[in-house]
Amino acid sequence: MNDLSNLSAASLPLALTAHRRAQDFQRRHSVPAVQKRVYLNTLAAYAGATYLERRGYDIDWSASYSHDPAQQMLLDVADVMVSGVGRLECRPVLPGASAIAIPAAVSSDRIAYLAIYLDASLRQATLLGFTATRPVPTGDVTSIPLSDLQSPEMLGSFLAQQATEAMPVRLSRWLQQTVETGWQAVADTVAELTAPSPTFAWRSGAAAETGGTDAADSSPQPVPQVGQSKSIVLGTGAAAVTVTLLVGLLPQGPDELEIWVQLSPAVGQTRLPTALRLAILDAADVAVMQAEARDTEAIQLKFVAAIAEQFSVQVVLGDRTYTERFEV
Amino acid sequence: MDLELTPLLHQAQQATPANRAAALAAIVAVLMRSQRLGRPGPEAPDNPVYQALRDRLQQQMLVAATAAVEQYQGDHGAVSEWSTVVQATALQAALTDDQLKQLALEAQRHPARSPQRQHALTQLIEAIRRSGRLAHPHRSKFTPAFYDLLYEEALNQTLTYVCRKIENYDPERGTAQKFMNWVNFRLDRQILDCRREFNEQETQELPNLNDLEAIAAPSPETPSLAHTVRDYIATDPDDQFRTTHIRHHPEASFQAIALARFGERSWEDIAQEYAIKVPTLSSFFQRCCDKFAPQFQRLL
Repeated sequence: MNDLSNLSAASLPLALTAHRRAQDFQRRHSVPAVQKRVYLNTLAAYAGATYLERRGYDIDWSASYSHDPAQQMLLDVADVMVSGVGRLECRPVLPGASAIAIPAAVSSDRIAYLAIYLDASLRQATLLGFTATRPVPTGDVTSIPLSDLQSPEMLGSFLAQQATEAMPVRLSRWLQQTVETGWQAVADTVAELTAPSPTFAWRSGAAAETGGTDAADSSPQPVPQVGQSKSIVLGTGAAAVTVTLLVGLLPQGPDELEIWVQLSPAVGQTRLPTALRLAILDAADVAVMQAEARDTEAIQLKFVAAIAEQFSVQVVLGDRTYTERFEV
Repeated sequence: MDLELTPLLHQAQQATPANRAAALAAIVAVLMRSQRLGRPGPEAPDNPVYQALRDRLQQQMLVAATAAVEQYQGDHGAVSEWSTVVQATALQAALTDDQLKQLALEAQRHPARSPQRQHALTQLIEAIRRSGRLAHPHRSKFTPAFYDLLYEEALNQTLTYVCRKIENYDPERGTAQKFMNWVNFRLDRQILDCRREFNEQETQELPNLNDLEAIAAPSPETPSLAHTVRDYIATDPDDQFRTTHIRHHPEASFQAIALARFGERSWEDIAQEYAIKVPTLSSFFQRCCDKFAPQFQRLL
């Protein structure tokens, strides 16, 4: 750390804009500890954002909690929402610290944590490094030693990789008719489906708009209000196998969704390939549910997940794997 | 670095002219080791642009070290001062406008956001700062202290512009075709823009860490933010904060957790009370903050 020439390339002066922004936010608060926290978090977020902007990324400040006074008060946040990449947390590191402190309430939903060193004059910020390992909080704050960080030079390729990896499919938005490209509303494809399993009948999009009452009329069993499907291809060339992935949503109260995940044969086929496996992975990529096709028409898994929870759908056939990430 | 340099400097001063070269070469090797400029990126370790820059730097380090070796006084602390001066001199001599131009063209060669471009831009920014080729326009119009603040801000914005708009740089443009003319032209305009944005009366001194510690008095402007949000959560006019709770734990509602947090209770403490793990509790709280954010914003 005493070799400043080594650090200077990743250093940034904190000048008028950074301090004015910090002052403006600080003035919104009245508790001294919160005022100080907001000031430092704003400087760290500014430094992280400038670093990213200089590398060609855009910051969506309106979606960044660090720029929302109510969130500043409720949470110890210094995040920047990077368009097309995700949320990065810029934790301020003060002189004498040997670790970055990650508060419990900023432990989910971040793709990486940047360690931003602020010198005692608060006139210079230095990116010390970053970590993409999401801590599992056991107490109020999780400490990650600075020596465990990845070097700032690796951040460029890390971000490029994050940006190319698809953002998770946002299921809550499906309810507002915002659907990622590549998915087709099931109402369009329902006629093409070969006899769906009795417990997995799709309700048409038109019925969904009329609300919940007609569900009781047409069927005693609740069915997804919204369904989308996409073709997925396992493997390449002559060995490629196509199946249809269907995802249906049935809201369960204000912030939970019942999620139906089904694999059906591709158009023109009547059976799924034998030994085709469907698995649901949790946010830590641990399989929590599995089903396997044995000369069946369709396999399906059903579960309930809360808003903002993340999971992945994994389809495996032999050594070919397809994974898609979802966020409720 | 200083510990390594001290004996080498003594050696160079006492050596015969024939032996002096070896000591100087060792000094240059130490100086170059900490030098980021001219380092190739991880993607292309033998990129000739960085190799050429590194070679030039090494030459100029030797020139500067040779010229300065007699000036080293040998007292304590002097060695880091000596190496700072030698490095600054060498960098200014090595970083010609053409060297900067080569880095800019290298950045242009790679697609936006690619690691190669990012590396080239990082090198370019550092090179611009160290080249001694930045202009200082409009200095006489301001007090020195205010000018320094304006200049620093304008330079920040200029360097961000250089990174984001490197495509706009046209090496064929202008009579002198100098890269730094492009940068300095922008810097000049940015200083004038900053002067419109920040006025001298309002901008006294920027606070340091100690000043922040000293903040004690509640600010008079909007002392109500904390109370407004807290009251809103406590009153719960739409009956939503009480009813939003952790699955199977109706007592662990957003309202109860938020009020406990306002009372400065720790996550561990709250976790113990409800017999719920900290990660479950804190991520539920975070999700709720996100969910209710639009409603809180309406209060502000």
